Amino acid sequence: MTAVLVVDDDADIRDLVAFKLAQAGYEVDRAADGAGALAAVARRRPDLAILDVTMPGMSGIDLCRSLRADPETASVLVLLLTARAQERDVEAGFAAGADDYVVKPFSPRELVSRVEALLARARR
Amino acid sequence: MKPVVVDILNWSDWAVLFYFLAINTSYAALILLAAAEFYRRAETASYAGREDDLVNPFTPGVTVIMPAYNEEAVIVPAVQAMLSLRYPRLEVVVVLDGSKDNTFGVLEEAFGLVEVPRLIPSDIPTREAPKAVFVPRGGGPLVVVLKDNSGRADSLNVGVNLATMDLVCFVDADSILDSEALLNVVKPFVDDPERVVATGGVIRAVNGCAVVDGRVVRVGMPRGWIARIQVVEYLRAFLLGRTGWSKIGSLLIISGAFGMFRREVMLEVGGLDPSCIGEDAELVSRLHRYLRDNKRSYRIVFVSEPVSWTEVPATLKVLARQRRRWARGLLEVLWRHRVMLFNPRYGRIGLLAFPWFLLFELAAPFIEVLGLPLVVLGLAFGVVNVYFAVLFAVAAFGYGLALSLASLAIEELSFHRYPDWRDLRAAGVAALIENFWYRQLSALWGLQGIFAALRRQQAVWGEMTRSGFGPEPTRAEPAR
Amino acid sequence: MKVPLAVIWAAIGVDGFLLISFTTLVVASRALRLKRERTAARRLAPLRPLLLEVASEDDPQAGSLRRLQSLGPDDWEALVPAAAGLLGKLRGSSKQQIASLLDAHGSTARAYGDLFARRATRRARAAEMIGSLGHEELAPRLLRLLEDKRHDVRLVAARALGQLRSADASAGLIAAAGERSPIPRGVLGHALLRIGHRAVPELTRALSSPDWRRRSLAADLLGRLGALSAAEQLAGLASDDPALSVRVGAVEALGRFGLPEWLGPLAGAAGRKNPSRLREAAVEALSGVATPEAVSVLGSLTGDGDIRVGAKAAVSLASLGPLGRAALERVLSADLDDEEKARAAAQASGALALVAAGGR
Repeated sequence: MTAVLVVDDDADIRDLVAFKLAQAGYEVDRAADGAGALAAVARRRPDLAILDVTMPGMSGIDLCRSLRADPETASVLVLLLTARAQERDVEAGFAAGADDYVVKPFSPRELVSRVEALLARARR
Repeated sequence: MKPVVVDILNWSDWAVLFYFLAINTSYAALILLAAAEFYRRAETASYAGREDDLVNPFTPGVTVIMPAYNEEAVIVPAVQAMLSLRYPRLEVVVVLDGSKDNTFGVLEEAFGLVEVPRLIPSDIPTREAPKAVFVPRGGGPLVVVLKDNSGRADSLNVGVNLATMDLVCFVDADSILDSEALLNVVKPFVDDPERVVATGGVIRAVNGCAVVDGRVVRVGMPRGWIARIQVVEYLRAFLLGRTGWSKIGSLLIISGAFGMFRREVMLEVGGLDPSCIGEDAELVSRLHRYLRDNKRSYRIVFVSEPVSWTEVPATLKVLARQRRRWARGLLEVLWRHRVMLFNPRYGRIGLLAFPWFLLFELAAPFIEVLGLPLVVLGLAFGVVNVYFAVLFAVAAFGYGLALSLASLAIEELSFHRYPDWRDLRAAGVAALIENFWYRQLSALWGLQGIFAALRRQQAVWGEMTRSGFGPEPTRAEPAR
Repeated sequence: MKVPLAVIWAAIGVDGFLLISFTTLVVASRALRLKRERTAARRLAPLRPLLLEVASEDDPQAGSLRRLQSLGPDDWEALVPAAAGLLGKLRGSSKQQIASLLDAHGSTARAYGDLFARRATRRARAAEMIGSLGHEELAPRLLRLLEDKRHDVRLVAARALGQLRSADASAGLIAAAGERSPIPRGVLGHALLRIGHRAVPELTRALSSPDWRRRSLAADLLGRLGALSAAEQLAGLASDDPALSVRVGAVEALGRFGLPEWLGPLAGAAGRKNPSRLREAAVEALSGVATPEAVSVLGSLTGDGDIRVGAKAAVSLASLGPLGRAALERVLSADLDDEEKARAAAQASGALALVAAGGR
């Protein structure tokens, strides 16, 4: 079973994305902030994490960086979800080690396709 | 002696009554103005577009300037919290003001600082030049500056010289900011970029709140009554009072713990004045004066949304020191910019705000402190009967108490940040007992501060009067 | 004592009345609020999963959608904040689903009617709603709100037009940047950026507007949108426009294009007699061009008397790869007697250290 972690401080988005992924057959964990996400990762290492960039406290980019820094979680696929679409922001995301980037407003359907594509590529 | 006292008392009871009525009614007016403003903000909040600011590439960049002196214990979480604020274009400049402890060492280790040689423009002349500039290895919007000790104001000026963004934001290392703080305080700049030159954020007491990772996660009332009374006082005087002043374009004080300024305008007025005790208040008065002298259309706005949380004094000793300093600072500002007092050229600042601070902030301690012995004498000579004196006091303090409760009510209606019923009760009781000892002590401290200022400044004033009293400082005195 | 006791008693009476009213107000408002919140949460709890199902389009036979469409007014009211919130964060058919829900409850019709309501807050809320619903056909009505007498309404209208991404709104938004209208440039700029390439023809036309505010906004945006077709006109403005902010905008735009043929105007803008703002922009733009000629211009600026200009030039060079770094090293080894050369050397070593540390 493939596990996905959804981290967003916006409960509606978090639950929506989690619901959509669960429907698509993934095991889904949820967290509302950076600290919660790290705890969730310690409980069960996800194959892929969807991180909101602009969260209070630890941002998605910081979180991505700390996942990458830990050998245990360095290979977790990271998809950033953010309302910031400027070149500079996208660059910062990839520099932190993100694998993909989805801009809000987003289409849940497209998000799931991207998750599937990322996982499929990683399996190859 | 007796007849004199009788005369004074006979003459003064109406005067004192009117004074109390006037001071409290002016507060009531400010509270009403604030209530109107809060209502407007609540109505418009749903379409204010704050999330839009977060993604808008035109949102102005902000340089947060954090001076630090012996902050070893708090500096690392403070900088981390600052770097993780929700804001799209952010740069943090930490100015280490010749600390005697290991402030630099802990920063160096936490962020892997490396020295970079850097030429620094002296847009604002400063007393101490930076000795070295550091950035974190691996990048990140952080700059750390080392310099010899020269006080908070001078450190902030050094920070302004280093800043690369259009807006500069002054913060204290020991303040805790809400993650939305910058978005809130930038909002007036975004909505009215041509006129807004400065914004101030509201300061609330962090005592009694639960703090995790440099963020307030649960708001609560502090334990001791000294701090509790200050919570109520901050609500009344800062949250509502300053919102009221801001509404009529006459905000005179922006707290040093959280203020934002347009960098360009800071340069025009020459930055903060390190020779002032209340350098933040002095800066705002100077801005008003300069911009009005130059016939500019400008706004200085107070932002009431929760922004910055700071430790308020929990002991009388520390509180006394703070209040003496505030009184000295206020006197200094009013004196330095006395040309604006009652001067119609300066509009509401000269005709309303300055006179108000003179009559009700600066003079109130005299009335309160000198009134008390007068009443005692009156009682002793039998001129005042006890019954009358008590009733009089009840009437006067009752008005003040009503205003405190009005402030609580407005807080409850607009922000309701204190979730516990017990907190509300504590606030109510604090508002009551404030009248029995806190006000009197505050007045005393205020008086002490004023006298201290008069003693200390006589020489300085002489000198300044001769030199024509320009807006620039003529003599230095360490601010810390 | 001259003050009659009656006056004091009256004052105490008024105080007492105020005390009681404010205390009651605090307690009552809190109690009411808590009750309201509890009721809303109770109503929302069973509905929220249905809403998420609708938004995620995993809604077999549209059963959840139909249920939500037929909600009573109280339940619907509890759901509105969540539904409206999702609307702004979603795209595509998910958004359509939520929009159809709001349509079914008459929100669109109400917003349509409220666009010209007497109360400003209703006008603003209506504009906001139409923006997030994405009803492009209502753009002309929103355009009229750009001239609303209330500032906050004008701002919402501009933002909503950006959300609609209607090319027809471009001209109106650009016009709103003019002197008479106080809609901030940042708000208009963001809206026009959202409209994107379809705004380019109008923006290009605005480059020759008599109003410098419009020219400046247009120059800036054409750069951000990568509208190379406007490059020649922008190069003209960069050198000749009487308004500083237009020149700055044009210079920034040329820098974003990074085309070597416009090096001339950029080098000109970086010239010593120009205002610092323009020069700093020009230095930044030259680093976008990144040809050997640009490198040599930047190299000559590292020792500039304006420290900010020099620092920008040095940092640009340091991040330009081997060519730029070689230029900096040349500056480093120059003789230090000359004030300008010493300054250049200091800037160069600073920039190299900064880039080595991984900053910028």
